[in-house]
Amino acid sequence: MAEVYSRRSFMVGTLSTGLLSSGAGYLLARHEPVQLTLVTGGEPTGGGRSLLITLWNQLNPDIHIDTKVVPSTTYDQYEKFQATDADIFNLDLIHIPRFVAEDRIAPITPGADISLLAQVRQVCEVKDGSGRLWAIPFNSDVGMLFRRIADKRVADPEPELRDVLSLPGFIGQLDTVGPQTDEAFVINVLEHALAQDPLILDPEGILSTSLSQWQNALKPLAEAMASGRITTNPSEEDTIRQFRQENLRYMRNWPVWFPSVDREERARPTTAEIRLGRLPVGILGGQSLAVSKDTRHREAAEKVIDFLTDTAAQKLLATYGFAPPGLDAYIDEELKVTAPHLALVRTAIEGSRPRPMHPRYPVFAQHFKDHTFAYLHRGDPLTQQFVKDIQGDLK
Amino acid sequence: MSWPGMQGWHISIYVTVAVLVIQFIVDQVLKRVYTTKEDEPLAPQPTPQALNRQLGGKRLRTIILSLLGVVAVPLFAVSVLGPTLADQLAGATGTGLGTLTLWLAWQTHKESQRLADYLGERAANDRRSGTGTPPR
Repeated sequence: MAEVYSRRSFMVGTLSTGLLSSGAGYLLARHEPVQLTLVTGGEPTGGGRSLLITLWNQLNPDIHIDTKVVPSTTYDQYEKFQATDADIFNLDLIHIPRFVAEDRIAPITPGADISLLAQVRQVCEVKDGSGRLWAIPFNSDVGMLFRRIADKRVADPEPELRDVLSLPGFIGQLDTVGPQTDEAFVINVLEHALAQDPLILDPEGILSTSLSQWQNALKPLAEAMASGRITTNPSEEDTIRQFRQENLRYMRNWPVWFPSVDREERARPTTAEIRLGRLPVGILGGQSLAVSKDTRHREAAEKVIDFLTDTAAQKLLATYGFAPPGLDAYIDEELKVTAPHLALVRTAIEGSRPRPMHPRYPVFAQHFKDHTFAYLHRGDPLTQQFVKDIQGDLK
Repeated sequence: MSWPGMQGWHISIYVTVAVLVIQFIVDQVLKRVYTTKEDEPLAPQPTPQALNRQLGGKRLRTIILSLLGVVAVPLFAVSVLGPTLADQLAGATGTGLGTLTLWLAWQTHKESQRLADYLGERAANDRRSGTGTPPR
C-alpha cells in the first residue's frame, strides 16, 4: 500500500485541489478592473478635483477613473460632453435639464451624509418625491462681491451691488465677445436685475415676464454703463487681471477665486486685504456629477460619485476655494478657521436663485443676451419682443 | 496592509505552492534521516489483483491530471496579461503549476504503461510456466 501514500500522490492531491479551487475562483469570482471615463470642464483652482480623482485611483485599483478635460466654456463643454460615451458627466447646473430631456443621465440616490443645502438640492432633484437626484453636486458656486481694502483702520461698510453702480471702481462680466462669454454676461445681468428687484427671478428659477419690471430693474445698470463709471470685461479670469492691473475697488466674481485673489493682492503695497461680500441675490452656479444612462458600470460609477461628493471630499475641495454644496463642510470647525469666508458663501448660496432650469436654457440665454446686450451697450430700447422671446423659449 | 489587486483565486495558487514547497523540504529532510538508519523492510509483493487495481487508478489519474493541466495552463497563461502585478504573478505561478500537472500526467502515463507491460509479461510467463489460471 506504499503507492497510496507516495510523494507523487501527495503532489497530485495538492495540485488538483489547488488548481481546481483557484480555477473555479478565477472563473466564477474574478472581477475585471473597470475603467470609467469622467468628462469635466477645466479646473480653475489648479488641483482639488484632480487630487480627489488621483486619491480614488490609488485606493481603488479595480475601478480606474480616466478623466477627459474640456478646458473651455460651459457651452463648449456641452458640445464635447454630447460627443463622448463617458460614464460620468461633471455637468454645469444649466446642462442638467438638457441631459434629462435627452435621456442621457440616470437618477442617483445620494449618500446619507452629504446634507445638501436646500437651494443646491432643489436644482438637482428628481421631482417625484423619491429623494433621488439627477446629479450629485460636486461643488457649488454663487456670484459674490470682492472689495479691495487699502487700510484696515478705516471703516469700510459693505456696500450692496446697487450701491457700487454709483461708486467708482466696479468691474463685472458685463461684456461679451461671443458664445464663449455669453453665459457670464447673462448671469451678471440677472444679478444686477435682482439687486434692483428680487422678484424678477423667483426661487424656482421662474422669470418675470413684465416688461416694465425688466426695464426698471436694468435701468440703473444701463445708466452706470453709459456714464462709464463701471468697467466691463467679458471673462472671469480677465476680470481678475484687470481688477489687479487697474487697482479697482470692487469686483463681481465667483468665490472659488477668492483665496488666490486675496493671496496675490495682499502682496501688493496698495492692498491690505480683499474682503468678500454677498450680493443681495446671487445666481447659483456649480458642477454636479451625473451617471450616464448608457454606462455599463453603473454601480462602479455611483461608488465613484459617492466618494467624490461625500463630506470629506467637500472639505478637501473647500480648501482649494470651491464652495461646498453640503452643510457639514460649512460647520466644520477646522474649515471655519482656515476658510472663514465660507460662512459668507453659505449665506450667499442660501439666498441665491437658480437660472431657469429648462432644457431650452441655451436658446433663452442667447435671446436674453441679444436683447440686454443691445440695451446696455448700444442703448437700444428693451421692447415687448424681449419678453415674448424669453417667454417663448421657456414655455 | 493589503496588496493592491489581490483577489481570492490568487490565494489558492499561493497556498498550493506553499504546500508543495513545504512538502518538498520535509521530504528532503526525511530522506537524509532515513539514509542514516537501517533499510526499511521491503514492502510485501502486491498480488496481481492489486496491481490491476493500481493500473486502473493510474489511468484514471492520468486522465484527470491531463484534463486539469490542459484547462489550467491556458487559463492562467491568459491571466498573466492582467492589469495588476498580483494578476501577473498569480498567473505565472498558476501556469507553472498547470505545467507541473501536465508533467505529472505524463509521468503517470509512462508508469501505467510500464505497469501494463509488466502485467502483460507476467501473464505470458504464467501461461508458459503453467501456473496461470487454468482454462475453463
